[in-house]
Amino acid sequence: MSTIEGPYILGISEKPQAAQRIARALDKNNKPELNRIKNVPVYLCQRDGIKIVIAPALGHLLALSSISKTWNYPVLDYEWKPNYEVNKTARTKNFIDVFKSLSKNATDIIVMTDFDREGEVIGYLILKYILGRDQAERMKFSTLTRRDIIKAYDNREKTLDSGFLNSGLIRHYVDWLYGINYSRALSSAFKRVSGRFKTISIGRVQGPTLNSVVELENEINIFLPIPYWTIESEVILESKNFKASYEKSRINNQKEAFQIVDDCRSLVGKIKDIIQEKKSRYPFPPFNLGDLQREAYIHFKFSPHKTLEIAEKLYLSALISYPRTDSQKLPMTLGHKSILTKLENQNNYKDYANEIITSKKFKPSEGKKIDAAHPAIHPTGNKPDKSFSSREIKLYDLIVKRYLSLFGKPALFSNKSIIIEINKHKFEVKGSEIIDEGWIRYYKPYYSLKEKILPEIDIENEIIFNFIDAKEHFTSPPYRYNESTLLRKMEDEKIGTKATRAGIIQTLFARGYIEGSIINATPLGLAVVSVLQEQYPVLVKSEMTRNLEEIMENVQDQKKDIDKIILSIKKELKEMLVSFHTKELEIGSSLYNNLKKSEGSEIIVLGKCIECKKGDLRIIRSKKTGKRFIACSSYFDKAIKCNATYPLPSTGSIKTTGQKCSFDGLPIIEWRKGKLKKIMCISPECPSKKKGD
Amino acid sequence: MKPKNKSLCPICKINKKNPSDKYCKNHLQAKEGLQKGYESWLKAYSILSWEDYLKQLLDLGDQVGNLVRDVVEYEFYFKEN
Repeated sequence: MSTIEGPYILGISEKPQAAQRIARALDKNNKPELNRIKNVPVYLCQRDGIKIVIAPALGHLLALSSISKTWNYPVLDYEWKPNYEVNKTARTKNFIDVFKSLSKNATDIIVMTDFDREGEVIGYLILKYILGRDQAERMKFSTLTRRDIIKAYDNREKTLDSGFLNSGLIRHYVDWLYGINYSRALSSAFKRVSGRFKTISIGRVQGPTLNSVVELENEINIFLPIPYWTIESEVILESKNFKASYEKSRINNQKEAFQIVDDCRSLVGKIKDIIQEKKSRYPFPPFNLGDLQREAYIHFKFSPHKTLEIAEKLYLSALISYPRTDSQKLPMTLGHKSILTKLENQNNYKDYANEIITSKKFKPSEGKKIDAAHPAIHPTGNKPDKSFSSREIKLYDLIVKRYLSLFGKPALFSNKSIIIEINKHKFEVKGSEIIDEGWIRYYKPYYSLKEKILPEIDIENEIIFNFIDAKEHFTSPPYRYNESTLLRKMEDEKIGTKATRAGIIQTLFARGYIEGSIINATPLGLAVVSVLQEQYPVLVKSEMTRNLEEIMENVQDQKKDIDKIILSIKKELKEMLVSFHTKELEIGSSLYNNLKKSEGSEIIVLGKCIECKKGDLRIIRSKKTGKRFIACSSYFDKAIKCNATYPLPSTGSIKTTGQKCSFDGLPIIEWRKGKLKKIMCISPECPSKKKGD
Repeated sequence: MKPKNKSLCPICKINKKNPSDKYCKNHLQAKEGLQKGYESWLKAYSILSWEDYLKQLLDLGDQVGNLVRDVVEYEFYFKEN
């Protein structure tokens, strides 16, 4: 293997793209020499007469693996191994070989990975298990801009960050211990009863997250609407109609609601009061990851996972700062004037950036949340080139506009409220007038204020109502989660971390526990939670996970001895697994019965396919879109591969009737939605439909 | 005609935990909610028979939770209380 002549300082970077950026910034001519060793890009830079070689990792190059080769539980002993040995699809062998070969001529090592828990662990594991060393310097940066990288190089720390490292390592150990042991325990319980092997996996954070979805599903299933009434009314003010709201927003009794309407039947009221006040609205805080994921979901329907993926690409391209942050702080040391000056060179932001620079207000508004490692997400000012997709540009625009809005003045508006009395009942007409849009101008179209200007009118004036009616309503069931609200739920429950939550939701999708953009638990998800809730609730309740999160956070803050903590966690886990083992038969049979039921309920067979005459026509729900349709089971038979499909109404319930259509011989189904009920052939082209049968 | 199996929930035909219960655990929980809800509905309308209550819930269709709707349908069509 070709290598680079020493001596040199070896830099460990987290990804190839980051290695390239760091190398360009550190090289005195911004032109580092690219060497491809075993197809891995390695950069040689010259700085202050010193050679620096920067080699990339590919995220984690090592993974935890069980020391014991037997398949049972509890498994409490583990070791770090090259991850291509643990996961056969990992293509990391060349990267490991390159680090080994570069180690020989390296005088010193600098860890240049992302400054967070994972970055610290990646650097440490390469240092210890691949390079065989125990000492490295550490560069800490929040953006991959030249300015930040050089600053990080000049001010590099003498050692790794032990707080981040320990809390990162403990997370790996705990997640591995819980994941492998409970997945093995559940699969083994199932096998003991059914005699067949099926992987049933559940993680420390997955269990409570899935449980939240199922609990909401249960709440919706037993939801009972309760009637209530609102008083709806419209008044005429200076010959214009305005909606007026009644003093009570909700009336729980029909008689009372009707009485109010009866009391007001004259439809003539008097203005009793006019209240006018000026209000300010301040900018939203700077983006941390959770806020960015939520806002991107609201405006672009990007899943939290997608948002993180795009944000990481923008970070690696030095367009934004490091996205895995909790911070809502933007310290002045970031050089806002310089960022704004760069943004001034981008047509889309030119005018607003110029306005801010002219106003000389360089102190942005900030939120309360802090993160010791990184500031809030902000643009670097660099301009994206044409290679970026429209999705990436959308997210970039959102980040830039949020950043600009932080320098804007508070939005100022005047609220007006006209109180009208009619037979002792009070109604209110509300209006709002924008005096100064302030920061909102910079954040458009992601936020806007609607104006409703009320006419000038005097107190004691007589007012005519167009109508005053009582409207009957029923309370609604809670909304199902989408990816954004589920992420919020995880944050509220304090389970997972900013960096892992989106990935955990994706894992639940991948394992077939949840489905749809409006998230539903699948029969498999329902079965697993139902068994665990009854037999082993600790795995689906948030308490255990939350406590573990607290312990792990404390490791970072107080730099505790992790060996002692792991030992006590192992002890606790072992006790829990012993208790699981005593219930294994019960859990296994419960799992078996529930899964059998769910497997049966997942497939509804309507009848034989008339096209291939071999397969069954079944109702299928697309895992990707959540939509249902009818398809032939022979689609999966390579010899037949029947493509027969029929659409289904997207909402309402569907039942089989066992009957066949007299026109085309296809199955007839019963579709029900609310009061509507239809017995129909599954074919949209069926002559019966054309005839209006 | 097949004799009724008293240990099964008459709605979903799964085993009841306690044979003396009318329904399985889930439908029993829905029935409890249905009974509690009747008090709120009675307060709202002042006069309302149990049967009219069930009828109105049937009219609300999908707005009613699945398990509650199962119980409402069963109680309404089998005239049980």
